[in-house]
Amino acid sequence: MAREYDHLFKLLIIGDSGVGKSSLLLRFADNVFSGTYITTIGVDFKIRTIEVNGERVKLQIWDTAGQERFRTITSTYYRGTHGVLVVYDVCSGESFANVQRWLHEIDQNCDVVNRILVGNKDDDPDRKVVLTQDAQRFAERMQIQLFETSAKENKNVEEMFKAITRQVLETKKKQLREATQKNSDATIQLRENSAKKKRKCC
Amino acid sequence: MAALEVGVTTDELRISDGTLNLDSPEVSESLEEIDSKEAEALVEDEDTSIEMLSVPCSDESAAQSPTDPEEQKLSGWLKLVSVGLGFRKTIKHVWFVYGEDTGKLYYYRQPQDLLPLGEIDLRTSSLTYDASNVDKPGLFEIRCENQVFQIEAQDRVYMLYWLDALQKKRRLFSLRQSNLAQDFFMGKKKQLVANGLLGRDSTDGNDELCPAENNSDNSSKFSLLDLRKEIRNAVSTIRASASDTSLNRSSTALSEDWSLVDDMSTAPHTFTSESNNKQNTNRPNSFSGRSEDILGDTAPSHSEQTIILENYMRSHDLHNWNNNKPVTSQNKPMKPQVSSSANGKPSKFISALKSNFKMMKESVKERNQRSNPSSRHNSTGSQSCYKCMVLAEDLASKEEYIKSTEEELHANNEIIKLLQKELAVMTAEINTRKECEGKDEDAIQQILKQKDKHIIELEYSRTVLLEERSTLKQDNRLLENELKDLSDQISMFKTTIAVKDEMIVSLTNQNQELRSNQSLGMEDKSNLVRSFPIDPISLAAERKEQERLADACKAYEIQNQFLTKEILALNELRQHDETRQKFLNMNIAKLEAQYYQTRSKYLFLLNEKQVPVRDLKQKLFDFINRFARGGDENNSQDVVNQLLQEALEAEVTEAQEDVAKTFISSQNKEYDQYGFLKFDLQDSDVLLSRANILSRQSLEMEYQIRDADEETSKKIKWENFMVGQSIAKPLVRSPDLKLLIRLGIPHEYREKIWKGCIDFYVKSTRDKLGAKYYKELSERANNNKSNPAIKQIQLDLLRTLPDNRYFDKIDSPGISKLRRVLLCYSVHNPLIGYCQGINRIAAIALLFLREEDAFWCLVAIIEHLMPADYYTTTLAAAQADQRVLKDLVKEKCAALNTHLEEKDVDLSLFTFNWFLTVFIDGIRPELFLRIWDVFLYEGSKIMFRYALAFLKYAEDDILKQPNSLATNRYMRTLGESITDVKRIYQIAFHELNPFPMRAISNKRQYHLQQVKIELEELEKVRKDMRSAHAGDEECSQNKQGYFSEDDQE
Repeated sequence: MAREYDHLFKLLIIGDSGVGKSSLLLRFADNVFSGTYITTIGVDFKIRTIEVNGERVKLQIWDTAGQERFRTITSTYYRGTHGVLVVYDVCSGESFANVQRWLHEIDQNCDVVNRILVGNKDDDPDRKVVLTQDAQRFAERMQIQLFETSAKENKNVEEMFKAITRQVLETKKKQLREATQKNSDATIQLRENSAKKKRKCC
Repeated sequence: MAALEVGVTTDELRISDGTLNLDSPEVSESLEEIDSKEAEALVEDEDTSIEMLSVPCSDESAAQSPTDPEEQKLSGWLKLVSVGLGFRKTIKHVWFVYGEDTGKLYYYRQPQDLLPLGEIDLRTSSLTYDASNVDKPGLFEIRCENQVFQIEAQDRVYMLYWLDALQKKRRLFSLRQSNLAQDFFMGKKKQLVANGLLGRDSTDGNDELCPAENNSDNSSKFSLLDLRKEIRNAVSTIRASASDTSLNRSSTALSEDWSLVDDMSTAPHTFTSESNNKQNTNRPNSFSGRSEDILGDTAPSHSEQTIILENYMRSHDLHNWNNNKPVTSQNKPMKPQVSSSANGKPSKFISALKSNFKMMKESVKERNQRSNPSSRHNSTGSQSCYKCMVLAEDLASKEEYIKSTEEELHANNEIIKLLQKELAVMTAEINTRKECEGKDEDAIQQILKQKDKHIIELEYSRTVLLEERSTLKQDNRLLENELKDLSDQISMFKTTIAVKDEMIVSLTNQNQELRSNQSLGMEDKSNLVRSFPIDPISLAAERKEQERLADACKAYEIQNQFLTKEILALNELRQHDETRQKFLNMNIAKLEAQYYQTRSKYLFLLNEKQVPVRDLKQKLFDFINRFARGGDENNSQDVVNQLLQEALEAEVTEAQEDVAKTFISSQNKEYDQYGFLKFDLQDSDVLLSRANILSRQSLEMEYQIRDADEETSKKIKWENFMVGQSIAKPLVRSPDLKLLIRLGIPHEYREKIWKGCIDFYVKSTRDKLGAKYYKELSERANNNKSNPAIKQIQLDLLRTLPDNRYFDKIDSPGISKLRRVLLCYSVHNPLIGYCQGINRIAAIALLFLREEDAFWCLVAIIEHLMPADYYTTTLAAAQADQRVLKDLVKEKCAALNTHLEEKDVDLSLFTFNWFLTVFIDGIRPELFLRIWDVFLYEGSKIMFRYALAFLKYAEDDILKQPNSLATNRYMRTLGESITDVKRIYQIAFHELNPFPMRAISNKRQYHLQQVKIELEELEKVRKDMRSAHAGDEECSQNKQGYFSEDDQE
């Protein structure tokens, strides 16, 4: 029996409460949208298989609670995560301002991880307050790719997820190459790696 | 005797019965007075008398629930007679309570007992009692199905009250049942919860609306009114029979049959002769009047009302008689008028009576004036003494004669006077003649001679007259003497008459007694007949016996009346049942039709495919997917497509149009009884999700059928328990209640029990803070715009229970309440403020409780039921609980623990939300409400029981999952997949035992400490990181004007 996927990646969606994390996930996974989703307590996940570069990638996407006080327990969520989506609401300056803190969270919990910045709810120009160029500038400085999406209008969602998947895939391949290289090296390094793994995502 | 004391003993009112001795005139008179007084009282205010009759019942209800007068509960102490082994009768004094909701009569050892000793199903019962049982006048029987309950009340009145009330209750219950049934089939399920959001329509936002209560109010009023009416009728008939028997007793002709009509027809001719016996001799007319009244009475009276009327009338007549005492003349023509008018126009009889009474009085007066003293002789001595009459006539003629002589005498005297005057004239003439004598002597002498002659004549005539006068005088004196003698004679005769009268009275008395004893003797066929005339003691015994029989007769009458009523009531019940059955049959037929329709479609579909079932399944599945995603259809599948299309449409329409349709659609309604969406219309894959729901429903149904018996027994237990609960009474912890709650609280009692449980924890705080506390809080919350929680609360309002109809739109009834409750809590406890998760707790509380109670529910859960620090900014206690759970899984489900460790699956990812929301998140409402029931009573530790039960329940399935992803996937839907509530209950409370709570407490303490240490470390790392990262980035951000508000938390 052929494997139904070539790669299995775990993605994590983080961001302030109410920026549309669950909406993005449901749009991507089930292609549905509803204005109101039940608040995520703790964590929830969905699975979808996509094709990137001719390879079938199964994505296990974890959606998290946005409220500040839930951050204390998110450390468990970061375990084994390949890529993190940091979501803000383009209609909320505050949620954009908090992106910095979310990025710190990632740094705190993972050593190496692929990240992507998502400005969601980009469907009403009148209500948009986080300007694209500001966000772009910030993303460049943080060396992180920016996507402005709308789960409501299904705008850029697919592209965004594909982008992060591609990143994760590249990283994996890079690591594989490195690993094969290292494999020829001393085994002592490996042991060091495993010791470090505790706080490492990939 | 006591058995026949039908009346209520008050000073004014005493409903007398056959216990009165009519042989002594004083007693009978006083009876009449009482009767007339009573009648007046009844005429003037019937209501008061009826209220007085209902006194025992209101006393009872007051004793039962003094603070709640509206809740008219039928309850009281009665003796339950049960036949034990060896036919020994045991009599228990038990407290009976009628359960309005169940139609059953429960009995308790004590009124405050939780569980009853037993119950009597009144719905299918019949009531009866034995009137002849004098030893136990209050003994009655309730027969239901195979059982006979013998219950004894303190006396017969009390018993009749109970029987009457029970009949009422039974009828009302049956009525309500059939109404319910009708409502149910019309698609309007009756909402039993009154105060929570579930209790009312989604469109209305009014707090006080509770139609169910209104209904019950009406019915209770109705029953009360009815009861009063019934009592009144019963009393009036009793009165009627009582006075009938009293009349009966007074008549000399005691017939064997006690029935009113027959008896009365024999009565009239005896009354005249009996009159002397009973009344004073100087008012015989009242008896003739009375006899006529009774003649009027003998007209057959079918309705109770006429009996009452006649009864009233009779009392009035008695009253009249008392007023008529001085009347001596005959007034026979008056009475028929009275009775005829009363019979003719019963509704106006009182006024008619009054006017008649006046008329009679006037006519009596007239007659009084007209009546001659002489008529007295006529009337009194008419038949007694002929001699006397002759004498009297004689005397009268004599007197007349004397009078004529006296007149003659008088005339003579006058003649004498005239003559004297003439004489004077004459002497004057003579004088003048003497003066003229000288002139003519001869002539004068002649004249003189003539004159002398004349004088002599005159003198002679005078002497004659004088003589005559003296003789007349003498005559007169003689006659007077004679008269004196005669009147002496008359007085003598009168005394003899009086003596004779007395003799007659005593004779008639004797006669009457003789007759009555004779008839009694015939009745009894005993030797009493021979002994009665001689022995006065046996006479008294006879009388007693007679009274006893009269009592018995009356008792039988009452019993008969009651049994007739009982038959009618039972008939009515049967009719109700029939209609109910008809409804059910109709719906069964409908369901059957639908079933066949579906089956034919299914067969058609199978026939169309004619391929192996497995292929069909696969193809169908593919097809459904394609169809749902808007793909193309194959030509070969046209029929299938069509069928699917139909099915799809049917499902959608079925889900959308709901309320108006009967039974079937009410089962398939869009929302369940808690307001949760059953069927998501927005789901793209309508058919699949529908299929899933249906399969789940069928599973649930299977469980329901499996657990049907237990469900009913649970329901009965709850009913029994709730019957003992009144609103005013606070819930009390007890092992019984604990077990009951573990079985699950029925939907209709959830509000009451939850509220009771919440009061365990917050009652004292609530009392301390005062009744206005919540109001003040909401005002404070409104004014406090800087509350950091406002934003998040606002954001989460619609995201709390979006699949529940009470919380799905911004104008849904629950949303504004939820907002207030959460804001109030954030002000009440600023340390916690608002934490995601408590919004759902508040929402579920709001489904069942009033807004303020929901707030206190939140307080109880966060501050009392949950460990401290569960919802604070670090969620430390909540995290610690996850570690406790992991420890417990290691202990209780070792295999599962190994599997999860192997597959590197973090259990807390799936269980954390269970604990934080008290299982609302990701669990089906039926289940989490059960958990809530126990949680509110027993506390947060049961969350471990349930979480472990879930895991244990699914352990085998989880172990089958090959890898981490599959395990995660399975774990994600674990909560939703659990439908077997009963199995979960068994695992949680039986199989998991022993489950020492102290161990959990210790673990909690330990892990909490650990978590706190780790959190401190994390915070330190965080600070380090921040300071390391702090630099140009944040500065540049701030320049751009995007501020973080994180620090607020």
